[in-house]
Amino acid sequence: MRSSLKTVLVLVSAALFLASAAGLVVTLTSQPEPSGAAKLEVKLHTREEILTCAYKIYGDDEQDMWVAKTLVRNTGEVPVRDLRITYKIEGYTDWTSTEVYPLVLPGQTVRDYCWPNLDDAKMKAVTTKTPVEITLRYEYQGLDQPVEDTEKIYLLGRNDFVFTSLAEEDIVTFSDAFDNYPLLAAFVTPNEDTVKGVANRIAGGLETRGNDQDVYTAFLRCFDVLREMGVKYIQEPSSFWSERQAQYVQYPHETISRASGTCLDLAICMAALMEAVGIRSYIALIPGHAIPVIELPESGDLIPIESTFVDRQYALSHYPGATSPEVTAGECVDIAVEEINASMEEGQYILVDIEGSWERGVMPIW
Amino acid sequence: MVIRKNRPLAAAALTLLLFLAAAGMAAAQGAGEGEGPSLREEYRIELNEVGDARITDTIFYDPDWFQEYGYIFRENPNLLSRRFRADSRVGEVEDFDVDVDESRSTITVTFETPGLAYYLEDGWNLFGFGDYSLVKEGNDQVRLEAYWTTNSEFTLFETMDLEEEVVIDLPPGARGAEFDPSTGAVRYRLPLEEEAAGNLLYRKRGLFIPLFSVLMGLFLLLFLFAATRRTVEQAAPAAAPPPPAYGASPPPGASGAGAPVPPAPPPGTTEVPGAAGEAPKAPPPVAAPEPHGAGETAPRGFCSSCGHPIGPGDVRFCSKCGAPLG
Repeated sequence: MRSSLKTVLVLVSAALFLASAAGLVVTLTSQPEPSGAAKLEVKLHTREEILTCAYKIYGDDEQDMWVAKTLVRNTGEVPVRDLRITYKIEGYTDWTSTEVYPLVLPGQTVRDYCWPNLDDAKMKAVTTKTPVEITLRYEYQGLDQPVEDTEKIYLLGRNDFVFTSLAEEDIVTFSDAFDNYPLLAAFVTPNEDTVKGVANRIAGGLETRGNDQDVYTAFLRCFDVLREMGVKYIQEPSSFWSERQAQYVQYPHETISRASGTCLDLAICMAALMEAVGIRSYIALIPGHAIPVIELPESGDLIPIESTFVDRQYALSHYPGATSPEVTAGECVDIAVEEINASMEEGQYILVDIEGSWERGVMPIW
Repeated sequence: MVIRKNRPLAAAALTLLLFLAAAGMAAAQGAGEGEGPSLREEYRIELNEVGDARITDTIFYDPDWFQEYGYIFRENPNLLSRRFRADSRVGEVEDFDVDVDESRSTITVTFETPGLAYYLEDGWNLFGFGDYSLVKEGNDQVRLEAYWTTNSEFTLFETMDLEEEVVIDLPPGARGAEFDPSTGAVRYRLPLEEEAAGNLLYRKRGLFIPLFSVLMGLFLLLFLFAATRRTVEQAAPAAAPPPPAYGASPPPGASGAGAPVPPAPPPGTTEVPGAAGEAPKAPPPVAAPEPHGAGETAPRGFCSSCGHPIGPGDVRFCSKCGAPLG
């Protein structure tokens, strides 16, 4: 054997021998994990209620509209391994996909959120406030069987809309009273069959996607078509829920089939009819009132219309002298502009961007 | 499920404010954006070793704007805190405080968020930076930036341009910190979780003890084998080699003048004929006699009949058995 090869072999074998010996020593002297069972503090928080009209947004994990939140804190002295969490709303969802946390160190907190995919047909069938149970199930390594915790939450009726989630003492401005207004876009259902049928009748022969004049014409036609259908203006009962800023809101097909609606119902209906033919729509909220608004595609101008005047009798009885039973759609545009300008001067005006809300996940229920 | 970071300035409604009566429809449509006052925000996240965070959010206002409207923040403390006090913030906001500094035209919000970073299969993850770009990436700190248009309580519902910088102070010992723009996550590793995994040796000692023992034995054998082998000596290159004895043939491989000369064997080693690099050969069938002493020349060869070394000089017959030498 050559001396250089011998030297290399001697050194390498010695090093590996020592490494193996070190590994053996470390193994022999390794300490067991701190004794004692894993100790987790698990708290389930839920929303008090779910706005059924906007139920789809609760399943969007890009939004901050979770249904439940679980706070898990390792209060013990040993790591918890393979923590698994899942949720279920009995009758409305299957178990959600399981979230796995491979290691929860002593002192560590894990915040887990529930964004359930609620059953479409069942949610549409919820007509009144309905209690449901949400169940949290979790397990981790060393636990004999999964642990479940259940809380009660309420599904509001599909037509129920709560205008703000802010506490009473935190409502300072006009807009605070309508803090949930982006969710109104869920009521604007341009793809619903009834809406599509009426919208096509309105837009026939018009270039509604790129011509200001045609879009404006379609808007006036929409008003006239609703008037021809005999749509009446009705007022919401003063207090749908006591102590709550809430309202029963109709979907467009309900407004059409019932031939009646509140100012908000009519604004939503006209917005849906316009969106159904590609016209960008908004809803202006001013104190005690809602007004439909469209955007002209070329100029970008916003055009509002006083939609309650589709009801001739209401126009005559409430605006004697200022209007006549034959008040035209064009005149209703001028009236709406004046109303909005007056409210803007007082700083009490909200413009609900329907398409903008859709883009942010508030999808129509139909 | 893992939540993304919630931004206080992005959460509020797009509306006009009671305090600001002057906003018009154009403002509501977003017209005029970029023409008014702008904001600068430093959002600092100090993380500890278990993913809890201390947030210090400092908003720097246009001094003129703040001079005119800053008193509204002071007189309406609920305005700035209400989003943080909301029931939906349970477990996300603790020790909340807000400081309005009119002399510096700043508002500073501080609070703590347990469990802001998540430990997952790929290490610690801090989510919620999908629209940010990387400024600096290091194991002590990651800096990100973004540009927004904002409209919230913090702007009194006036639409303003916002330049935001996020400063993430990673816990001591963090390594492998990186920002993944595709997921908007800042990822890093810590020794702590590896220590927790270190108990693997104890849990699997039934496997590791025999394994290390066998390896020790194998390497010990290898060591002994290598250490006890006799080395093959090469002829030492001598600076002034002794002149070859008369009649001695040059070693194989030496081709003439200037060719390397094998080193002289050290005492106690067996001399084996062969050139450098040549594999060791089997010893000759007859052991060579002891050298006759220092200065003696090597034998010319051996008698083919009796094996007796052939002495130096012109010898034609074996001095032992008398057989003729070839």
